[in-house]
Amino acid sequence: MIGDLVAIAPLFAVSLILALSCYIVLKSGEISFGQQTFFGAGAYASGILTVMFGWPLAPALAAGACAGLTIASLVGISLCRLSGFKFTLMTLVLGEFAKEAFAKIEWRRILNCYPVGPEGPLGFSNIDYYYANGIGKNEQSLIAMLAALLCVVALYVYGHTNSGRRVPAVADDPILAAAVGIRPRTVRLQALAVSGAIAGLGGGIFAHQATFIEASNFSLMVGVHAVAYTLLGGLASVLGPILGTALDIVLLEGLRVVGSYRMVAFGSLLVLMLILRPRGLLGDRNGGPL
Amino acid sequence: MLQAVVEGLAYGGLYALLGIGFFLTYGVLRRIDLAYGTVVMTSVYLAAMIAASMKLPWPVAILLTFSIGLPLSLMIAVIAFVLVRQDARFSMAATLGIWMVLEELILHSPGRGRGQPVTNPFHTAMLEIGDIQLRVDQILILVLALALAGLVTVCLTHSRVGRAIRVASYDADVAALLGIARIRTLTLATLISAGIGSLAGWSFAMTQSGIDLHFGMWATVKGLVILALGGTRHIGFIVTAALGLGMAERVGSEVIGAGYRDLVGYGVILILLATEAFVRSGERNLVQS
Repeated sequence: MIGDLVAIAPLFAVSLILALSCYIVLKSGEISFGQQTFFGAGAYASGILTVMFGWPLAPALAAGACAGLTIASLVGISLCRLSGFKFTLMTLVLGEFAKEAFAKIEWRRILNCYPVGPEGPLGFSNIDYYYANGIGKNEQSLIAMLAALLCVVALYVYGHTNSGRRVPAVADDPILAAAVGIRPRTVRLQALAVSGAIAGLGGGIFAHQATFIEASNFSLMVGVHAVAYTLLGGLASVLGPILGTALDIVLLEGLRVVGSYRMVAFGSLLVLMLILRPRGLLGDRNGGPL
Repeated sequence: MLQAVVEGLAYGGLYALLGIGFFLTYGVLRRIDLAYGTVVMTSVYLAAMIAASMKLPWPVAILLTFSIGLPLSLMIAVIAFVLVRQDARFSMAATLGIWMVLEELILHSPGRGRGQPVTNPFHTAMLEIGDIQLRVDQILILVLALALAGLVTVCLTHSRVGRAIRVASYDADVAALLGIARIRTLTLATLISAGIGSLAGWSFAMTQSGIDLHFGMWATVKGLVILALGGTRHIGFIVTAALGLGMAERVGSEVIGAGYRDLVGYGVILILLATEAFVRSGERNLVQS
C-alpha cells in the first residue's frame, strides 16, 4: 500500500499543481476550463529546452512556468474583460485551440546523430532528462512533490500580499472593489498570470515524468478534472484543492477502492457533494484569503 | 472556393441543429448543461450498439435513440438543476460530474467506447448543381435544421405552450400566478431540447457513418461556441452563427489545409470572442463615463 502511494506521488503532485492553478482563478470569481493550455505550454517549453538545447532541469522548469505565465498574461488581456459564462466559454475554446496547436508543433534538431524534438501529431518523445542523468523513481517523486509544495507555499504567500488579498475581494463584489480603488480587471489578470505560471511549472514536471507528451494529454478533460478537484475540496483555502485531489488520486486511483470505475465514483461523488455540500468539503468563506 | 462555401453551409446545418438544442437549454431554460453533448453521444452510441447487435433497421435505431436520450436528459435535469439548488455554477459543475460518469460507463459498456457503425441510407447520394457537388444527407440535415428553427421560433413566440415555457423558466412566481404548471412545462421543454439533441447526434453519426466517445465533448464545445456567437436573443442568430461557423471552418481549411480545420475554427471563435470582449468593455466604459 505504501508502495502504491509512493508510485502515485508524481501523478498526485501534477494533478495538485493543476488544481491549484484552477483554484486561484476560481478564487477570483471565474471558472476556467482552459488551464491545460498553460500546462501544455509549460510541458512543451521545458521539454524542448532540456531535450533540444541541453538545459538543466531547474531553469527549464522555470522557463516552462514563464511560458505559462506569458501565454496567460497575453490571453488575459482580452479574457479578463469577460466574465461569467463568456469567460468560461473563452477558456474552453482556448483549451481546444491549444490542443490543436500542440498537435501542429513540429521542430526537429539533430543531436548526437539522432533527430529530437516535437513531431507534430506524433507527439514529443524521448524527454529523457531523468534517465540520462540517473535520477531514479524516488527522486522523481520527490522533485514533483517539492514542486507542488512550492506552488502551495507560493499561493499562500501571494494570498497574504496586498495583491493577493484583492483577489477574493474582486470575486465577492467587483463594483464595491472598484469603488475602493481596486482595479478588478488588473487583479483578475494578475491572478490568471499566477495561475498560468503554476500550470506551466506543472506541465514541465509532467513532461519529464512522462517522457512522452502529445496533444491529447492536454484535452478539455484535464482542465475539467482540475476544476472538479477544487470544487470538491472547497475554496476556503489551499487545503481545498489538496483535499479534492487527494480524494481522487490517492483514494480512487492509488488505492483502487472502486476498481476500474474511478471516474464513475469521482463523478458521482462530485454530484453528491454539490447536492449535499455545494461549497465543497472545506466550505467557502466568502472574501477569505487565498 | 464556391464548392467549399456551399459545403460549409451544408455542414453548418449540423451545427444549427446542435445550436437549437443549446439555445433551448441555455437561452430558454437558462441551464448551462455541459453534459448535453455527452448525453446526446450516450443515447446515439447505445442505440447504435443495440441496433448493430440486433441488426435493427435505421428508423428503429432513431426511435431507440429518442427512447434512451429523453429519459436520460430528464434524469440529469432533475439531478443537476433541481437537486443542486444553490447557484447556477454548482449546477454546471454537477453536469461535469455527470459527464465523467456517462463517459466512463460507455467505456464499460459492451461497445468498450469503440466506434459504433451507423447506417447512412443516403451515403452514395449526391446532388449536382453545375460544377458544385453536394451530399444529399447534408442538404437534408440543413433543411431539417431550418424547418426546426422555424418551428421552435413559432412555438416559442406564438403558441400557448411556448409562452408558458418562457414564463416558467423566467420566473417561477409569475408562472404560479398565471396558473402555469411549471414542472410539467419545464419537463416538456427539457424533452424538446433533448429530442433535438438526439436528432442532431443521429444526423452527425449518419454523416460520419458511425459514432465514438469523442462526439460528446466535440458537440458540447461546438454547441456552446455557436451559442456564444449567436447569442440567446433569437434562434435566427443561432442558425446564422452555425452556418457561418460551418462555412468559415470549411473555407479556412480549403485555404490553409484540411488538417487545420479545427485550429482555424477555434482561432476564428477566439478572435471573435476577444473582439467582443473589447467592444463590450468599451461600451461599459462609455456608460460609466
